[in-house]
Amino acid sequence: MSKEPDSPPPVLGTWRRVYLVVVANTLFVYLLLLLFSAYAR
Amino acid sequence: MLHPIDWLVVALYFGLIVFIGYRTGRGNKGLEDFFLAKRSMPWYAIGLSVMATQASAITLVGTTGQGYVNGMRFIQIYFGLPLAMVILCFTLVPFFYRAKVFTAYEYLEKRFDGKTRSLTSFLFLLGRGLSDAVVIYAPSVILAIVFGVDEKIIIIMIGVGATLYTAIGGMRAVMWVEMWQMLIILLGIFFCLGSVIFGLPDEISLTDAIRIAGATGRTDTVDFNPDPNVTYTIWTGIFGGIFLMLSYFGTDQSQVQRYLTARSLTESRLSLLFNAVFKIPLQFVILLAGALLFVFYQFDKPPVVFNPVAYERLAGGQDMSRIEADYDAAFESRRAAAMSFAESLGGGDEPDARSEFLAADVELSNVRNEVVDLIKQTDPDFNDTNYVFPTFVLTKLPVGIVGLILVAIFAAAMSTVESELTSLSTATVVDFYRRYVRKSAEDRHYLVVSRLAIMFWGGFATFCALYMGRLGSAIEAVNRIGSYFYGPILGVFVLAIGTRRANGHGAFLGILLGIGAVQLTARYSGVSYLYYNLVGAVVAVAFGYAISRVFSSSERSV
Repeated sequence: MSKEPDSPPPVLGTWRRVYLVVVANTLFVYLLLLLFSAYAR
Repeated sequence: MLHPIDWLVVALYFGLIVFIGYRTGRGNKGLEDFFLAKRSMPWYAIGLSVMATQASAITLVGTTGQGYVNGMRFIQIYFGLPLAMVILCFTLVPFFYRAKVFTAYEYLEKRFDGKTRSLTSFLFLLGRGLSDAVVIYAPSVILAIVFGVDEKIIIIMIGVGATLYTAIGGMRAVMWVEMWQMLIILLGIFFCLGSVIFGLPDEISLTDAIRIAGATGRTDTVDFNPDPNVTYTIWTGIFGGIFLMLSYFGTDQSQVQRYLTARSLTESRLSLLFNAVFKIPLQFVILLAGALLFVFYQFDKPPVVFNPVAYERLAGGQDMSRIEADYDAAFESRRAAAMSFAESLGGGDEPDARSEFLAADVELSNVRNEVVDLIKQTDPDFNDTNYVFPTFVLTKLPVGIVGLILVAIFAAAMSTVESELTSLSTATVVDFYRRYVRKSAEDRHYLVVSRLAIMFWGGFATFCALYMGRLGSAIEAVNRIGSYFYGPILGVFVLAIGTRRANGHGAFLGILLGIGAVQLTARYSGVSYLYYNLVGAVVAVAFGYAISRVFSSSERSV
């Protein structure tokens, strides 16, 4: 028989803004890499 | 051969890590001390330790070589990493942390059953146990050839060195040592980049160098090609990469154990987000060093091939004078063309100068390929990408700095080995010995068994690395199969935290069907390996869930 998970379901909570900053930073890095490649060519 | 001062730098490094390992690893009293540093580590030490574990020596040496030979498009493999880190921060990490487990697989018994835990832990031991030998062997062969040292000496230095202080100090020692090792690796990388830039002729600025590398396509970092069979594109990097990184950071004990040592859930998350922010820039710097190395060798004649042993073996049986004369002439004309191209940048004659430079580069490559074809007649797997960087270090950098870079390579190898040793012994002791052999014993007993487990895995990896020449194909085969496990294991963790109806029977069979699906994909489709984890995870979730429903309805009817 399966057992129930012993923790509450995950929530983004107060970390939501931190995660958004990290994702935005990642998109910005993709853009910088694209600009770098375009410049170097 | 290495200068005595370089050997002294290497000796100082070994002395320093043994000292740090001994000082920080004293006073281990129980398993939580020994394997989880008493859950007391700060985020920056964990973040650097996670980074060091992932950066093996072959990553450091091979990535610069990739930048030199194929350019910077390899960076796209890391595009999914930051997104995977964010997903892990709000999914698996809180579950692992709150469950107070030693291993990721222990959580599966709390959620499913003992057989699912044992299967996943066994698959981890199978895959990682043999990959540890490869992690020791691969850089040892390269370092031995380039630095003129017996490979057995380097294998023993890495294998025995890492095993000893891991067994003595446990996780706390390993993580503090890894933090320092990562800082040494970073120092080495920046020294290399600086050495390449300052080694360029006075007339060539950094922007000129980037434009020269760019003309050959080596600075291309984003490819929008939608073909799933092409490995390095933004799509494989993001979609395949997310699943690859989720599998590695979310289900591989060598990574999970790092963030389980955090003194709080916040510090666990920060350590992963640290990697999310800095991993791509770090890889960019390493690959840029490789691409600029290509520019450096426009003006400083590179060897025909970088693997000196392969070339000497060839030169002994062939008349190379004609080829070497052609190579010298082709190099001189490419050097002149590269200089003309640099002088023409921004001017009206830039297109013509670019065409002449590219034609000269092709001409030189043709002569080199003639030699490579000859080598491949006796060695079909010949590839000297990994020899580019060590050759540059040994022949172009000053005494002392060579020692520092060698130390960085040692640090990269050892940080991966010691992480794997701690995770292998944790899984062995916690998931098998304490689970099936001695369920309750004194802390002292488990500490002795844990140290013996580290010595067993360290000895096993070193032994396999020493005899890799004979065992090579068998170990590679198991390693390849080992890479099929991670996607299905990720799928089972998705079932564990994402559904309430999945059960142990479904999870167990889901893993096996997932592994089968990945093997079929690898054998019968040309799809990039980056998608294997996605396939394995999806199949494990779909079939695991369906089978769970079948079992639960049959149990209800009984």
